Amino acid sequence: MEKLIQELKQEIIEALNLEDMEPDDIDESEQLFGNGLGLDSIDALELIVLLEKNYGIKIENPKDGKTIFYSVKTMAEYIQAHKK
Amino acid sequence: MHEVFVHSTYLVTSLGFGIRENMDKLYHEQSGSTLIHDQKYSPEAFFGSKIEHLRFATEFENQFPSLSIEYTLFEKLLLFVIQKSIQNISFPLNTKDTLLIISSTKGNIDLLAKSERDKWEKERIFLWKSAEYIQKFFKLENKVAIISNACISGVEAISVGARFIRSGKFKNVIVAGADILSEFVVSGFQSFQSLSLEQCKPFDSGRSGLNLGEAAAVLILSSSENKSFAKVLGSASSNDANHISGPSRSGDGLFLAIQSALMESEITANQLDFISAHGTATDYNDEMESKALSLANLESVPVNSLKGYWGHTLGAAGLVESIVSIEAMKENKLIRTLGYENHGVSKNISVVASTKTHRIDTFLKTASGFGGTNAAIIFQKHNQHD
Amino acid sequence: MTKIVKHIFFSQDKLFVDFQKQFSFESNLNFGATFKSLYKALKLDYPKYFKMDSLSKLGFLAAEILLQDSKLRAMHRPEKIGIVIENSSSTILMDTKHQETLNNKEAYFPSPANFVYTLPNILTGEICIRHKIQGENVMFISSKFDAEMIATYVEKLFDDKKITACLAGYIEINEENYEAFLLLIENSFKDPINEKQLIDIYSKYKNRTNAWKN
Repeated sequence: MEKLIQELKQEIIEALNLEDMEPDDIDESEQLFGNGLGLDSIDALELIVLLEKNYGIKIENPKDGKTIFYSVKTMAEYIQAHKK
Repeated sequence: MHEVFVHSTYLVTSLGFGIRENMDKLYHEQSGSTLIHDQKYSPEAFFGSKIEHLRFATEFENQFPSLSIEYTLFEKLLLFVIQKSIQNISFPLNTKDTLLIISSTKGNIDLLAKSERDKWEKERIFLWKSAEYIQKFFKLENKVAIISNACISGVEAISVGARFIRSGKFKNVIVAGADILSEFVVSGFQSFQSLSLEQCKPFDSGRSGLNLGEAAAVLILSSSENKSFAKVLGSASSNDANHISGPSRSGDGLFLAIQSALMESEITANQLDFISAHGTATDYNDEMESKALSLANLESVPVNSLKGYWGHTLGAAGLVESIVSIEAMKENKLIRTLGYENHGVSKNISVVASTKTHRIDTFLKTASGFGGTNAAIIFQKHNQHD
Repeated sequence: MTKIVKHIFFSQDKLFVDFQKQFSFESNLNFGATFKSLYKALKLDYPKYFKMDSLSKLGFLAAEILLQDSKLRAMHRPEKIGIVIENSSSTILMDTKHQETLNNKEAYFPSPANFVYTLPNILTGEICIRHKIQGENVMFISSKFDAEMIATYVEKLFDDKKITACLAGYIEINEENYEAFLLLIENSFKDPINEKQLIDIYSKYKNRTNAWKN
């Protein structure tokens, strides 16, 4: 799980062009949207692509993204539960 | 200040060719959208609106039997609609007084695909290159103006054309717009999760996204009144200055454009008889529009969206929807918002739920798009006294 | 009646403001690195910048310099500030990038963050967001800088009282080069701006950058 979280942080930084951020700058329990990293709706769509591309997980309903992408930790948990 | 009159129009959509064919199908509430399962556009099926390509090829061949140059589909559509529309006008094209404006979001973007890339010169991907070919074909004196402002391109092209006439710079402006279906655009909207898998439902509570469509259209503006059936009163564009893809939550951007267009037209909101909205059937767009119309005190004015008939035709959308609404104004008809059953936006706007006769003298056409951009234009019936 | 308040030109690693050279960058850098040095030099803190495509970055930086120390927002209402931009290649760099994600049908993952930047007017949208500009906005496509189009159209917007200030110019980027020419125009009691004025300013800049190159 720890390894997955580290990997995810790196992938998120790259996919969302979070310039000048290091994986350690992201608190895995911190909220990704809203106040946290200040991500927006396009970032949410990009995270959906990331899950499908890197983990083969398809989110059919974008509205589910809200809970899945709450934090890096919730994302990692979702990946572990659904990874093929 | 010169007045701006609307002259000949022509359009090709998934519903058919020319104004009559399109109007008949609209009055019969037929949709041109279907489930499209074609690898050329997408590995997955999607709901969209395609021009009848075989028929177009035949009609194009009949119109232009011997051409020495090969043209792309996008260019052929423009050549065809321009040729059809200029058959009915009395002024000469190839003078300094006439300007052609082309409106498109992605033009020849299909040429970027691997299978097409080597068939055309490299510059063919650019809109100005297509414009050069079209200018040469019709022997136009003036350089073609091109507007690529996302989904408001069509409305804005009419608006810019009207301004050029009012300023006295040109006497006649041919406004032509086209966009075609391509894998490029379909995949992009899919990645945005904004395509509906069924017939789109503008302003409906069950709406689930838009249908993409392709179309080409022409509307000719002139300072000459002769034989004109409508005029442009005023227009405006605005920006939400809020987000590049999500429309404003308050509707303030579109509201500003409507206000500015009304002011220029020297009319008040209660003088509008009808509104042709953008109505893409995405959650956020339709909700934003309802708020903007409410801010502008337009809740009681009948409003429709034509997207249920031919989908969202991008750079052509503002043109096809203006053209059809002008024709409907001439015939005093309100066209039903196909796909609308249950009210699904927060403001109590008056969505047209059935096609009916209704006196229309003045109407508003709006559009909004990516980049936070909005446009509004007001047309009025013009009765010939000859 | 209008006047040109300020103009900037940025191309071939040199940036000029009102004909004065403000920055020059190492010529061996790629566009992205040059733009980033400028971003750093301007001491900006705008994380959204890094999400933009190169066309938007170029326009964003040009507007940033043009409006530095400007009283634009204090002097004009948001809906009375216009933005009229021309460009030649539309969004060709991002178009190519988006198309590449479609070539492999086994790994078909088009990116929404890329796709949104395949519209040239996103550049005007980004500038509008940054500077709270809500007035008339348009993106013209032209094979090269077309002074006549800009002068005629902008003047008409002022004439019709649609705007009291305007950002106007040419923002272009393609595989080979980039060029940003941006002017701030405001209403005044002076004569209207005209095509010749714009051509004069533009060619002076062009001559200068070409001289640098040789």
